[in-house]
Amino acid sequence: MKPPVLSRLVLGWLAPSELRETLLDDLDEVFAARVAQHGPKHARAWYRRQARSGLASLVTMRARGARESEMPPDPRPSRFDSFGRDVRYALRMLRRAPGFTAAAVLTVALGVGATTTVFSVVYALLVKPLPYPGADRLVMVWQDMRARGGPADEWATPGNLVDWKAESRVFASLAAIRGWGPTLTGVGDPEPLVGEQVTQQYFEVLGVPPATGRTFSAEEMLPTGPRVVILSHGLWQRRFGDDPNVLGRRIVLGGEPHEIVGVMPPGFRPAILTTAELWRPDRLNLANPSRGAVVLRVVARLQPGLHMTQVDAAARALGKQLEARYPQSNTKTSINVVPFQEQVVGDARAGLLVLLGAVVVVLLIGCVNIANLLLARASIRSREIAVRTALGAGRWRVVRQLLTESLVLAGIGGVIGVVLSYWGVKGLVALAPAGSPRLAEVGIDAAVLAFAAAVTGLAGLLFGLAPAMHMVREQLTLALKASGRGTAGSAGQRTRRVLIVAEIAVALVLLVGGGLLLRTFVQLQRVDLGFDPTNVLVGFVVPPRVKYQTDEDRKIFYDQILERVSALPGVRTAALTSVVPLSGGDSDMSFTIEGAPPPRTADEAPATWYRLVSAGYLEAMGIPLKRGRNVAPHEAEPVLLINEEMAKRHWAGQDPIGKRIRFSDDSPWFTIVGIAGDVKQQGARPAPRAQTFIPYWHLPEPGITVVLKTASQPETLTMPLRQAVRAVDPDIPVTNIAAMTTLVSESIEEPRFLAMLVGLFAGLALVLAAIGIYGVLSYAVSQRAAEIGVRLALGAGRRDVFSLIVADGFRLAVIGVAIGVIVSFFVAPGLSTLLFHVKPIDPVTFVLVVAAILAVAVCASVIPARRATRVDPLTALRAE
Amino acid sequence: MALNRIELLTLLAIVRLGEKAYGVTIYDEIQRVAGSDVSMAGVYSAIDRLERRGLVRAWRSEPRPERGGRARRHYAVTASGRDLLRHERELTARMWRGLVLDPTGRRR
Repeated sequence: MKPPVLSRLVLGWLAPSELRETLLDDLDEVFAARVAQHGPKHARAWYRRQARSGLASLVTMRARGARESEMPPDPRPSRFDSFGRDVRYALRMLRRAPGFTAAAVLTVALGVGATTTVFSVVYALLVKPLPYPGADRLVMVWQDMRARGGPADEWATPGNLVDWKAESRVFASLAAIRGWGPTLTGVGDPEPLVGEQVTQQYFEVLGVPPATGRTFSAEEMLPTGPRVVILSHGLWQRRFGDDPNVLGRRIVLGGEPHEIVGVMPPGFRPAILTTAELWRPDRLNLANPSRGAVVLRVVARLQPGLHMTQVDAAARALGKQLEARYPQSNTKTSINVVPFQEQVVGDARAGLLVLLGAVVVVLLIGCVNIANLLLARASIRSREIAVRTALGAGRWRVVRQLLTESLVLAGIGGVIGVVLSYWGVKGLVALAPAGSPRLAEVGIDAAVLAFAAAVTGLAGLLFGLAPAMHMVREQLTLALKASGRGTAGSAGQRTRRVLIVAEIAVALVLLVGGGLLLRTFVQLQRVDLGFDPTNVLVGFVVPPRVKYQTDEDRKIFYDQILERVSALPGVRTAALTSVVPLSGGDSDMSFTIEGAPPPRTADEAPATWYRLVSAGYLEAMGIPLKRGRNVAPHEAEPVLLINEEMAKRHWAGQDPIGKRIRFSDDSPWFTIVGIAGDVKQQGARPAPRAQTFIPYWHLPEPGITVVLKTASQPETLTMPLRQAVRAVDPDIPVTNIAAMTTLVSESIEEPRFLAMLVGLFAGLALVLAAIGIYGVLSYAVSQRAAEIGVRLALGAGRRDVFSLIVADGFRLAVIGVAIGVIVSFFVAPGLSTLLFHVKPIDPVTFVLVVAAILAVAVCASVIPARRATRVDPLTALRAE
Repeated sequence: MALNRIELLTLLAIVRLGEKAYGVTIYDEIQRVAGSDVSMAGVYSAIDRLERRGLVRAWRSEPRPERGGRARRHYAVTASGRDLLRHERELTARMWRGLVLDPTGRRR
């Protein structure tokens, strides 16, 4: 019965040299006694405990020794050989083998650099708390509509906000947020801004008060209250030049004067719209709140000391209560409380964890390669080490020296890796999909540095351990007796082959992951979105409510805009729409079908996504008209178009053309005159939904997007578009100008990013595996030179020798591939949430990956195999 | 300078063991009598400190036949070690004199 090897190794490594033998002997003695007394399991546990709890004592003892040895007048001879000498010796050894050192340092630097880069993102997004005091108590509160087939995170009605605030004991404070997009006028150029309209407790929930000034008063929250605004630090600097007397000043926002009452501190993160630069009270009628429209996003601060399960239970109970109280509006509606951090990170989580996994695998493969190099060197150095042992160096002394060397190697690589990761982080942030959460917070900070140090140390131990353990096991005296070749290296060679097989298996798993994500990206690109994005430019225009108060005002404004942009040279078709595909601005409207039985509750009424359009919309956006006719410009009769999905859902087996629907009791009946093709309004993944196209002159809501189908490069029309709108009203800017092709590629930016990075790491893994195979075979050829010489001398052909070596590499690859495929079968399903139209066990991907790895393995074997054919039998045998 | 707990236990164990005091027996003695869970490395660390302060000295046993014939490092308490222990005991005893604790630990 032997004590645990690793514990013994660690103890021996740390113990001061003089004490080492004594301590280990003593431990062995007690261990033996414990085995006899309590059995081996207990004894091994005891030994490990000894190693663990003894570490601190050994380190302090060592430090004490080092301190003492630095003191020159100490008459006693130093009892401890210093760690510094080991490091100096290690550096000397590494300098002596510059090729090996460069290869190993570079591998560590790349591995640690990549791992640190990815970790810095993972840390900033998933681990680091959001920049609010007590951020762990912040939650988002949603209406949970799953029971009626809706989303789990529906926005809230003002009525529910009032009830949640009044009746729930789990929330310390609650605030609702609505988007706000005012244009700042009267101070230089008009500038469209992003803001949030908030309820009174907004700043209390987030725990961040204004740096100067005050929050909103109760009076300012009333529907008739005075208009006030709080600025962000950035806006205050940018537009008001740090003016210290800005409080009390009046500015015009969206045509209305607002008094500035506060400025937020620098670095304040808005709750929902992270680019928001100003806040004003959302003057909701909370005395008599609406229960119909879901318009609010709600953030809350929990009471201290609550567990999420308690919060969920309380939320469910309150949901039930409200359901009973308001059967009209709250049927099958529950409350969903989501920790704020989780909400912010959202879908990015799965992808990030995959990335981290991939990069760690690359690092591991790198470590395996270095371990292999070290093993090869260990065999080469076995004579040197045998000599040192013979001259009185203890085994532990040698092991410690080897481990120190690998740690020094890792340390140098780690430092370079951290430097590399500075650029890596910059590149990653620049490449990351627009709108990724919390990107501004990504960087190299103390926590990331600590991680890099830990990874470096672990990597050093990892690739140093195999050669060191190998040394411990090997009968070093044998090396002196043997001719310096042959038997001494065979155990090392076996270890190296096992490592290579593992390396190939792991690389295969990574390649399968990369392949699946790549196929997903290709599939996403192939999806027919239902419209033609080529040569289409879009831009958003909002007529301010103050100036354009009535429907008629806005209708005339839209008419004028359409007339102007249609006349622009280079425009084939101009159109208007309230919602552009892929812009994510859709909202539901419920409707009634003429003659259909009335729904029992308001919630069971059918609903449709609706968009206001001009007559040319289908043509400009390239959406096919499947049946019926298009609406005519300014057709006075209330007519509209629907999409195929809506026809299928509500008029299955009938002809919807000629049928009539309306959206409220006081709206006219609209006649359906045509059916348009389905548009993937929210990107490739979600299924199409029922859609309605309503002519804008019947319902001129504020805010419209101009759509221009152009003859050539759509971007060239950016300036003409701005000028055309300015000609109608000089105070109205055009925002969000973009080519539709850009919106399309942005919609698949995240899968592309993920596929690209995982693919990159998989490629790196493949290259490293190839280098590993090459290294092992080259070494094997040099070791087997004599054997090959004999074969050649006895009449084997060069071809036989060649295929002998290639087959050797191929055999390693096949075993590795077999293991890798089995592992992939278990790992790949973990990716399924990230995949699209690709099964996790995708035969195409698997076959291609296996073929690629086998091909690479053969290629990596060719050079050593060639070298084997050039062995000169005479020289090889003479050397024996 | 006063002794910390493990140093005191180690020193006492060496006195109790006399000629038999070496790593294993010291460790066992502390474990057996005091019942505290110490590590072997901790014991050696304490011995190291005691040695540096001249309270303990090491001596080599006769080479043993059973374990490769090497000599064992044994430990014995020096005169100043004994003085310090005596002093510690008196100090502690003085502090205890006339003291009765009720179960709640308050002074009566």
